[in-house]
Amino acid sequence: MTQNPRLWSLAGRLMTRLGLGLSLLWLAATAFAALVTTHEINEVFDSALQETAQRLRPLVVEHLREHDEAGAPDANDSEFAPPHQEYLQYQVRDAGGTVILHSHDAPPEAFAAPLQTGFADIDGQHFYTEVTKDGQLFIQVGEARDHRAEAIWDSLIWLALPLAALLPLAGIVIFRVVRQGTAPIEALRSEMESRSGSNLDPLPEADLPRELMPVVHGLNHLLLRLRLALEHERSFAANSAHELRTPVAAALAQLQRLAAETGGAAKRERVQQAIMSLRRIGDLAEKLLQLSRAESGMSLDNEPADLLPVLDLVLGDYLEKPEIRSRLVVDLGDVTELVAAIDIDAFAIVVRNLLDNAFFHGAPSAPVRVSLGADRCLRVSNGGAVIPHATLAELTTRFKRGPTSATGSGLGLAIVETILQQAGYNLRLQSPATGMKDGFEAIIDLNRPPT
Amino acid sequence: MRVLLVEDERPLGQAVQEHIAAAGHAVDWMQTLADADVALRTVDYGLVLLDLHLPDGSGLDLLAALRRRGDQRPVIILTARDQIRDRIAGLNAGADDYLVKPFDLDELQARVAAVARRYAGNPNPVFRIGDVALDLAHRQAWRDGTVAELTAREWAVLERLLQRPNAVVPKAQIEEALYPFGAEIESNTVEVHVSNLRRKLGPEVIRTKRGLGYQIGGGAA
Repeated sequence: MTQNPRLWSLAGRLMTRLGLGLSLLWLAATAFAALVTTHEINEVFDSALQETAQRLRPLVVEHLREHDEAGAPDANDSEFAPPHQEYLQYQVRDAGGTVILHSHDAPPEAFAAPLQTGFADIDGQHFYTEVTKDGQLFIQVGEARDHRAEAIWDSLIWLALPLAALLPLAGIVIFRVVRQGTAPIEALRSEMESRSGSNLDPLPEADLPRELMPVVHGLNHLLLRLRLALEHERSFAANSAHELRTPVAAALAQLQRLAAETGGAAKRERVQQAIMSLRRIGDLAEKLLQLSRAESGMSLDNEPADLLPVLDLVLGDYLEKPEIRSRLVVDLGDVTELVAAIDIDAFAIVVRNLLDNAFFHGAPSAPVRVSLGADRCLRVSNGGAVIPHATLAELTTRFKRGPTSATGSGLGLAIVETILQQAGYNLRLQSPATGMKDGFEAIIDLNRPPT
Repeated sequence: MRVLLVEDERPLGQAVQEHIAAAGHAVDWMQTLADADVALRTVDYGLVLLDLHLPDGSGLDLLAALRRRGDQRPVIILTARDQIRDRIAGLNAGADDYLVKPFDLDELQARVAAVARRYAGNPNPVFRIGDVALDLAHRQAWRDGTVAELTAREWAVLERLLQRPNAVVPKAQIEEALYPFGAEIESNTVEVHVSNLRRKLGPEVIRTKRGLGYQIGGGAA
């Protein structure tokens, strides 16, 4: 069965949407966490700058006072600690802006920050300035912006990475949960696919979720009605055939007895005409019943069956008739099996119609050939004038007859085509017949055409 | 041959009975399964013509019961059911042939003859006894190459005897094959038919076994 590309899968849609939703939620949560984290880290770093400057202020004042007594201090503070990489640098500047003291990693030149208490962002650096009580000394602590950005970025990465690693895991969980959740739908779909004209059993209702129960109830009710309707239609067609054939058989038999008992050629001739008329009525009713049965879908969705025994039975009927036996040439080749998905009664109707057609409309002097090849094509051919292509195309139309003097029902090939179409097989008509200069040939191709 | 016809459609049953009888067979006509069952248990029919759709049940049940008790008498089903499944069911139940209504009475006659021949163990329709040739299928007889005209009753006597070539067939069995229930039979009817046959085909064709019955053959092929 081919998939319609426009059809969507409930499980697929659930998986996609749950996955997308979870990813979006994760992104939103991560973005919010990043904002909060950045804000908090900025607060901590700002506080560290401020605290450092404020803690330095008394120490610097005391240090400078000591050096005032001992001489000018070294501007570099390397006397306090060996050189190392500083994240925070400081300068102590006088009111004129001159650098009096600075940490060893800080530049000897004055920071660009203004000499006033508070924070300042200048040239990619973040500063905090604290001023002594006398307003003569300014302690400026600076921090490279890159350092703070790196800290924030590292924090965010370590916040997001574990969550990102959980996303594929969440995807797997979603996949399994959706598959398990939609398993009853999948089982129901499989059951429904197995229903056909030959299988209208109720769908199983055990282990169904509450949401699906009304649907399955409704479907089972529909299947029951369909089965009853089909059975009724089929039995009606079969019973109609029985009820119609019996009185026709009785009338025909009585007329045949009358013909046998009637003296005088003229009277016998009239009885024979009545017999012929009755046979035509019977044949026409038979064809109408066949058409009715064909159109009731007798050949839809059938299990494969071996048609060779059916073909033998039908051909056997014709070979029993002395007037036909001598004209019928059968060649079933080496075929030992002919399995096809078509109702055996429908196939018998097809073969009978093709044979009736060939005997009724074919040239009486020419044989009717039935052959079956390894190509799974059943061919029924007869002699007679070549049928124009345009007429051939119309022969499967109801009540359309070929160039024949015989007055058939005009339904035979329409019945054949209806049955074969339902079963998914092809009927090909050609004239002249294969290997002949004239005649007509009907070919049943029992190979399913590609869908 | 004594034939049992089981058919509930009166006009059809009447016509079939007359046609088969006109061919020289004795036909008992029953219209229900119950009557048919009684008749089958009491008379040694050579053939049964059985409708399937009967007022008191399906003819298939009667056929199945017949075969279950080992009764192998030939049965031809006459039915309006034309579906292959019905036919397969009928043949599986033990029917010898299956004829769908409406049928031609002559075709029925031909099927009756064919089944009878099959049961006689000689599907070849032409018997040869000395210079006499008998074509049972077409009911034609030749003596020394010359056509001999036989009546339906005479053919019926021949067919009964040819069911068991070379065997002695009691006179009562020949009478049974010629006349149905209720028919008035002259005491010398069989002798008259045999005498006529000897006149037309030659005295050596049918031998009389005094006190036992009649015998045909001595060279049936």
